[in-house]
Amino acid sequence: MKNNRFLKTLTKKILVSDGAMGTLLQQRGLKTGQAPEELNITAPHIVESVHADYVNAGSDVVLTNTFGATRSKLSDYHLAHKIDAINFEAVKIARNAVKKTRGFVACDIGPLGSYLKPLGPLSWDAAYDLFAEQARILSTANPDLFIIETMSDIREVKAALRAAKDCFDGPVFVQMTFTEDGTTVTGTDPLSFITVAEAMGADGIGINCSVGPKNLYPLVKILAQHTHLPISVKPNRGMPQLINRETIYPGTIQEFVTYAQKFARLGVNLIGGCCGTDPSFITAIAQKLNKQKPKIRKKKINITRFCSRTKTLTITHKSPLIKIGERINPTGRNILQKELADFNFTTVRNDAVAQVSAGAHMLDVNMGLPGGNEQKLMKKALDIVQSSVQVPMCIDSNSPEVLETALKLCEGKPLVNSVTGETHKLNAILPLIKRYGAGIIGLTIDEKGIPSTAAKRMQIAQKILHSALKNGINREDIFIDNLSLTASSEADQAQETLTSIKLVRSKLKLNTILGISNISFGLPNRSALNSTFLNLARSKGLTSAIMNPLVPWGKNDKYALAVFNLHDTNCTRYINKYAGITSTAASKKTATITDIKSIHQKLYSAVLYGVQESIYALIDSALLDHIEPREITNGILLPALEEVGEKFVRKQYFLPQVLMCADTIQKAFLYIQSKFPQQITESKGTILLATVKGDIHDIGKNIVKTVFENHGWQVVDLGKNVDAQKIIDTAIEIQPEIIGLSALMTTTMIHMEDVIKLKNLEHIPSKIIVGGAAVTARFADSIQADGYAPDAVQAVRLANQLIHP
Amino acid sequence: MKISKKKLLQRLGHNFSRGSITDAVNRRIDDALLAAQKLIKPVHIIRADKIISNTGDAVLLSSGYEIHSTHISSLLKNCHTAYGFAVTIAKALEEKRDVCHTENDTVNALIFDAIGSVAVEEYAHTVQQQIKQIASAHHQRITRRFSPGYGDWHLENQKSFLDWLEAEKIHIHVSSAHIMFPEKSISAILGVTDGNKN
Repeated sequence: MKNNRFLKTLTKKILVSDGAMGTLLQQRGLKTGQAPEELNITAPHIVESVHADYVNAGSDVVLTNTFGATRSKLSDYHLAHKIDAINFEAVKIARNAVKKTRGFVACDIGPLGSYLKPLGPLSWDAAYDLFAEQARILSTANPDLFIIETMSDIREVKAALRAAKDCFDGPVFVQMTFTEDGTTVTGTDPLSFITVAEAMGADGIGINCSVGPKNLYPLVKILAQHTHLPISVKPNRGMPQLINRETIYPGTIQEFVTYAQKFARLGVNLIGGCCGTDPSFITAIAQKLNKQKPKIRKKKINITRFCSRTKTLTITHKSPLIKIGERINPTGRNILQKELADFNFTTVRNDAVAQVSAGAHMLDVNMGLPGGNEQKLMKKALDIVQSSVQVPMCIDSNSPEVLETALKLCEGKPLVNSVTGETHKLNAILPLIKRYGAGIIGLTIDEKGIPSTAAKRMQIAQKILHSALKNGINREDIFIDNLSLTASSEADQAQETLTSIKLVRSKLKLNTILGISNISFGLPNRSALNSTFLNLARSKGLTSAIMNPLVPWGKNDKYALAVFNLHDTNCTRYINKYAGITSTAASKKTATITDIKSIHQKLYSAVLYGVQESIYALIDSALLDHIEPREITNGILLPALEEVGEKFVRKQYFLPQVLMCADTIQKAFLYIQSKFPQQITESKGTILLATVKGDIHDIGKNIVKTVFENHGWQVVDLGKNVDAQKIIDTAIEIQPEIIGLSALMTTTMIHMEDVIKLKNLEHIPSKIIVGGAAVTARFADSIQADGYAPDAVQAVRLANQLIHP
Repeated sequence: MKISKKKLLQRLGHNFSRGSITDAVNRRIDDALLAAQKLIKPVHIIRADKIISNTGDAVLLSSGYEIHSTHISSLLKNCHTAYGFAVTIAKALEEKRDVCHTENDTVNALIFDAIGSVAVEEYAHTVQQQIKQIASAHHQRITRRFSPGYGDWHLENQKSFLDWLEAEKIHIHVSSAHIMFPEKSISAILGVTDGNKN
């Protein structure tokens, strides 16, 4: 991308881009319900006329008519098979329009229309593939740049940028769209956007659409203050109101011109318009800016940033110590190990919240459970932690595969813990760091192990630095861990660690990090040693520490100081002083299920209160107490579920509580079944469930399904919008005791009668019960259903009564 | 937009006088509310037409759109203008709910669904208030709102009503069974009358 004409021009003058495309296409023949992108192949002259009008108005850059030209968006219009032609032609059309002025063609890439997980259904890989497919086609037509725009999900930004950078050897700009509160609709603030976009290698950052130029000004100011990259701004004309077929935008040309000048004074490089603007806006902006030179914004150095979806952590040489919470790590934590083995993340979640409340700036997430599936555990842990707290993640794994999975899942810019100075590890991990826009912790250890001198550790740090820079990783994103070794066995090494921290900080100007707790392993009163060593390391320039923020971190302890200053051989005086004292983490006593005495009561209460986390352990305890599996099921769990149902009928419980209890008992059943497969409890019967034809609402039916399953029924679920004949065909095949039909709307519930008529015609003995928002007992009678239930709990009772009258 | 937790609990069927909420459920609801805030993207469209005639069982609007319903005729009696509107919170929250279903997380699916219902209802109320403000500025009053599917304004009229509103512009579509997509959408009509007539 060296000597790129667009980037070079951008340094010489403020460029003007174009305005809205869709509304102009509508004015010139785009039909309601037609994809704007289809015109690229059916009426290219219309698309070119829009580009030409903008070029004549003064646009230096025009965006191709490809905003919705990913396969997923084109599929909505049954145009997916034309994806190549639509994208390729779009670039050609735009190129024709700018030929005379030697303007620039920017390929427009818009959002996919669905969010990535966990906000939506798309996986990273699926999103990446969709963007990459479009980017590959566009790049074959030789555009000048890509502009990814109108993004509101930061993970989608990451996937789009990665795909565009992989497929196009030219500048890639990325623009997000913000709401009035200064964040995107998914909560990302401008600084976190900058942090992610820079880390993913964007060549320009911008904002488009949103809330009009006036409201965008403070956000653009943040961009100008915090990024050295070129900035693009394409505001809409304010929040549109649709009244009487007309889209009414509040913004005026004068307002645009005023703010174009203000944006120029901030150092913006590319200015245009979005929804509601037309060539007259561009003419006014172009005349006002008139080849103005862009203001030079200084590149800020020595600033490190990490972020979550919603919050950025900025690290400078003046920052206080950055605390990275170490608790989410199963090593040496039996309870956590047991939970993770059960795929239970209660402690993970609690630790995340507690550590951040105690002041952690970032959370280390390690899922290295012996014998566990680290990849699966890491995915779930990141999902839980990222949804529970707002701090950036520090992904902790040795496995490149696990790291890559985790890096795809991170919503912001994470730190990776860690890579050693071993060549093969550097080669495996550093390209991932660059590819997914992360920071890296480099351990001063190599093929020969941990060097015993500070000088040699420094050599490894240099090797890591050299290799990271070669991979395109910024110096600011490299953290060196000089390794704290156990003071009880290697007290002299503490001094070497401290010296190497000073060397790395002063000579290499890199951030430093230390896992503190190692230092006190095997010794009493660990917090005294940990605090003292942390204070010493801090005085040598330590930037950050991986530590337990839940324990008190105090001042220097004179006995601990003596250990580190080598005045206390073998820690003898320290041990004599503190023998028997253990550090106590602040623990909050909460009333839990364990307070209840008998195991019978505990299990019963676990179901009654929907406490899923302890259910496996309680069943194990019950079995150890020689309670028969059948007794656990029939004597404890099912009666508890009966009480849940009673509470629901008495309105003491509401539906979410019933479902939590149902989930708990489901887990219990499956656990018992896995231990005693021969004791499979007899099914109460089979129910065939369906939402009838025409109706796509299935939330109620799904709840009914869950509750039936947990009451021991075999459920066959045909889903939603099911044709009557299909329901009957399935009933003939599986012969269910009950057919359950659901419908939400008055217009669709009439199809329940079709099913009943067909059932009678085929002489199927199954009973039919009906339910759903619009369905009533009277309606059920009128169509000769065998019963009506107003909710899931009563549906189960009704079904039981019908088959065991 | 902010979602009232109280309204959400009501929607989920919580009985404030008799019921109690366990910590586990409370936490789930709080988490879901937080996540849902990121997924709700409310948009609306409004249309106003003069009422040309009102025969008691049909209303003709200035654009030529005609509604055959005694309920609508009664609603718009004494009104000179009819306002129609459609609101939606877009489809992201529904997608999230469906992901929960796929993962057998019925509890969260239920909560997200209820949040969507509360959110779209709140937004419809907001839009109604906007129209009320416009009317008040001209010393006019508005009637209550009425939606297709109620009374004798049958759901079959949903499509023509949304066509009149041009609701496709905010990506609301109607199925052959007259159901709106995204599901969390509301369409309604109300009338404007001068001074104290209504």
